[in-house]
Amino acid sequence: MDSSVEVIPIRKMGEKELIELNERWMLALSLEELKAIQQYYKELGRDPTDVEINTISQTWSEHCSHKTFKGEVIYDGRKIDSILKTYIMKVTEELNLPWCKLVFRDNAGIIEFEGEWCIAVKVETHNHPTALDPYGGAGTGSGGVFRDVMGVGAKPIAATDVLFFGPLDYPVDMLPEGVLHPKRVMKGAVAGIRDYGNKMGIPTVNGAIGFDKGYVCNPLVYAGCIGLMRWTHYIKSPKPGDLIVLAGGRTGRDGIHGVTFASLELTPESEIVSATAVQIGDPITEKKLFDALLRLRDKDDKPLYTAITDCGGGGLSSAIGELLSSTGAEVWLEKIPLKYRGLKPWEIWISESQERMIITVPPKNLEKALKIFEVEGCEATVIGRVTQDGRLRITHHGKLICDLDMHFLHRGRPKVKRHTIYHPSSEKPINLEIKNLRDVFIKVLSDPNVASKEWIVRQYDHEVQGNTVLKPLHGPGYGHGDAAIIKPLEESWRGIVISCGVNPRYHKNPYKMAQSAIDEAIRNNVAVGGWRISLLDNFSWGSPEKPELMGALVEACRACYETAKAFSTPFISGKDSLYNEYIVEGRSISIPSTLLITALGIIGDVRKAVSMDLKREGSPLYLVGETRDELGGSILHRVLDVKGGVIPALNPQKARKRYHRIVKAIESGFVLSSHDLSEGGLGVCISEMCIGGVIGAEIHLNRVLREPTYMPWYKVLFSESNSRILLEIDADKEDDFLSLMEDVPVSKIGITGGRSLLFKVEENPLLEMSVEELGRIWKEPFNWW
Amino acid sequence: MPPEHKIYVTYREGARDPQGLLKYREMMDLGVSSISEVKSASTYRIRNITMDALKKLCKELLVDPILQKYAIDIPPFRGGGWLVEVWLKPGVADPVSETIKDAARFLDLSPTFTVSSGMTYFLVGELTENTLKWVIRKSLANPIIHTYEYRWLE
Repeated sequence: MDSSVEVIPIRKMGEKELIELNERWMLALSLEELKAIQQYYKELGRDPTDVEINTISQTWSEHCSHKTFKGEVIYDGRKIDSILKTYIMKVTEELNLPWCKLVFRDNAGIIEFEGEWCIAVKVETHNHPTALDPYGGAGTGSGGVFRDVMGVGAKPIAATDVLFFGPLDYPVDMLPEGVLHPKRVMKGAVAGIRDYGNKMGIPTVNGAIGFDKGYVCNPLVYAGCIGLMRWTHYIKSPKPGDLIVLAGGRTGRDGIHGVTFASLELTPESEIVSATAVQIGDPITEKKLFDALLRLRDKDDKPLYTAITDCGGGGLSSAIGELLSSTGAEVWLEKIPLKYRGLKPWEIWISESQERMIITVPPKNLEKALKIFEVEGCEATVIGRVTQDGRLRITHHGKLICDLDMHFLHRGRPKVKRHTIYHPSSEKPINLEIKNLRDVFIKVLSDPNVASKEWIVRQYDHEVQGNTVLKPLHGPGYGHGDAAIIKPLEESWRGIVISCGVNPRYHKNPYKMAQSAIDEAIRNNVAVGGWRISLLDNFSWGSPEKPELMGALVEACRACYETAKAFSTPFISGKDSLYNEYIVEGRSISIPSTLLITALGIIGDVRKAVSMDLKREGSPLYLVGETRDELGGSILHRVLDVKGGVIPALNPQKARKRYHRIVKAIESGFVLSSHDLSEGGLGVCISEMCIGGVIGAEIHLNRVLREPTYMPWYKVLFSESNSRILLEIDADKEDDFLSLMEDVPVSKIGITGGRSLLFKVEENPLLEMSVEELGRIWKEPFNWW
Repeated sequence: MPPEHKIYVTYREGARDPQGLLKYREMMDLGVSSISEVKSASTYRIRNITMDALKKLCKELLVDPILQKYAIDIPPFRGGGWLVEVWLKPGVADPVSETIKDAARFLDLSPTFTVSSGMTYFLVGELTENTLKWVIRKSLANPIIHTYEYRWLE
């Protein structure tokens, strides 16, 4: 045996020793899993090497194997075998839509776009690394998701980023030991995303940012990427005898135990024990890597490689282990280019050094392939070959240091069993006495969750590649758009519509939270003219070992199934990040359960897209949808520190019908501007439209369709009921619009014009503010220029 | 041990120092009001290089001559304040240094030199050493990936 390899005497270990082994190597395995490994080696009649034990740990980690989502759940007295299959994947299976080309099977989902062209999409989380080093963590989150898309053969053409942080004014002296201040985390994360995306030449076109004290210790970073490819570019057919080529950056200690670390709770000591879990990105290397891979892809009538995958969480162990799970692999570890000497074999094998990808190349194509890498200035090295014996064999200078059965590696993990508790929240309307509506309005508009994020958006290059038709900032006043539109093909006007929905403020009712997130993502897409929508789900949750959080997770998944099915919107990809907890003084603090839904739609002709800024004076304003007494979790309740209230519900059948009509109205050219009602309700929606267009409006609150009809006016202003969109209609086409909207709840609530926003009830003025003042209030919180 | 040089790249008088300004604002957010200004310098530790080659590297690669200037081995700050140098820990990826090595080839410089990148901050104003350490941890360095050293400069 190689002297740099340690043999772990697992066969003679008792439970105590197994637990010590788990802690010493940061394996993040359960006792049951450790015993399964022990049994495997007992049957083999030998002990594992440190390379093998780390390989199994990486492969079985929550991050790589999604064991909670694929495990067994006891819920309400019945057994659910995999919430992923039972709820999320089932939507796509039952809808069985022909344009879904590849779903839940690879690094990214793939759907048809136009003709032979397809869109690949993936959204990832990079929460734990960002908590430790915001700049490096968030930047490599972007780098990783770009590689996911490249890993199915697509060229990245757009990026998205959704971020959650603690309050920016959080008192420094209240921060738990080892936790960075939210403002520092936010600035670092934004800079990391900016530097990675901008330097790679990938436009960051869509996203969201939220703040809540639940994220002080565990910030969330969701990084997404959209890619363009021909279906023939997707190739995953490694053949025995093909050579395994590692391309891109060199391997160092960075990121070691990253995936197992992602499956653990953070503690004040995390900054010491997890130093190597941090990755620093190098976008220039990744750009060279992608340029080379795209040339390899397009060199002949089919790619020069037979398979491609990203080296992400779990490093080579995960990339090669998964890519060649059905064939087998032989890896020559000493061939792997290192950043510096001194790495042990297990460290080389599981390192999560960035900017690396694996391809398998037939020997006859090797010379051509290596030449392309050389021309692009990208290091590429043959590190092994594809076999056909179903084993993962790793040698180091000729000595065998890992010999694992792929079947055991990928199918040998005992299923986890999770228990749940779920008590539906009791929700009752709350009536508040609002003494000064103007003060409250200012508080809502300047809440960091609502306020202008122009300072952040402008740091991201949202125009590079020259395909961004609808950008994040709209109108002369720079309002925030609902969705971005990319026109990726020179010869076609068809566009990709990218939007998102996320409402952790509704987490007390996880079913409604998930419904609202789906509705918001679809609503945002519809608001600019998107149709044929597909969805991505990204769950960021606390520990699934806590029955109440697991119960909430099942509820959210159940809502995903029922809602997405009703909308006929398939899930095409997703990811979960669990264990977002921080242990301080023995107490475990969870994040608010957070579900991000990303929606990807199509617009037939990008020239018909509408933005959210008001366009003309004298246009009628129509509100589509009913306003209910639904202020639970609202921005209004947040700024007034009110608990309780009714969380917005959803009727997806009704919503679907009205969304269909709105898209028709946009296609028909009836709509001049359009904006969805979400955080802050009607009050914020019309304010943003006025700010964007630098045009005022007069709104009659009594004309808003309400249920119940008798509702305090502040509720009409700030209710966050779902499925509502405010439309500015071309006055000359008003009758045509109304004919189209027949049997859809719609009401003419006002008219555009003037220099101020006036809310009236009957003919009585309720509140009036100049557009200039609205803009100043909205932009002030992030006026950090 | 071959001689090591430190290169400090700072902004010229009148040019905006964005990193210094960012850190100054962070200190105001932390409630450290005794600091009147923060100046920054991108800093490089370079070994195994001749003085001529070093100057060429500085002039043609490390410095934007319109906005920036450089100093070799002597920190270009004066006026009573704490000098804090922040470096990446060994093993943490340093793509800036990798890029410098890569780019040196285009300047016909022998790539035998070694380089590591860091940041230097000059905090103008009075701070106790304990407060300084707290400020470094909260704003200037991340103990997970950085080491740091500090000293008082008259």
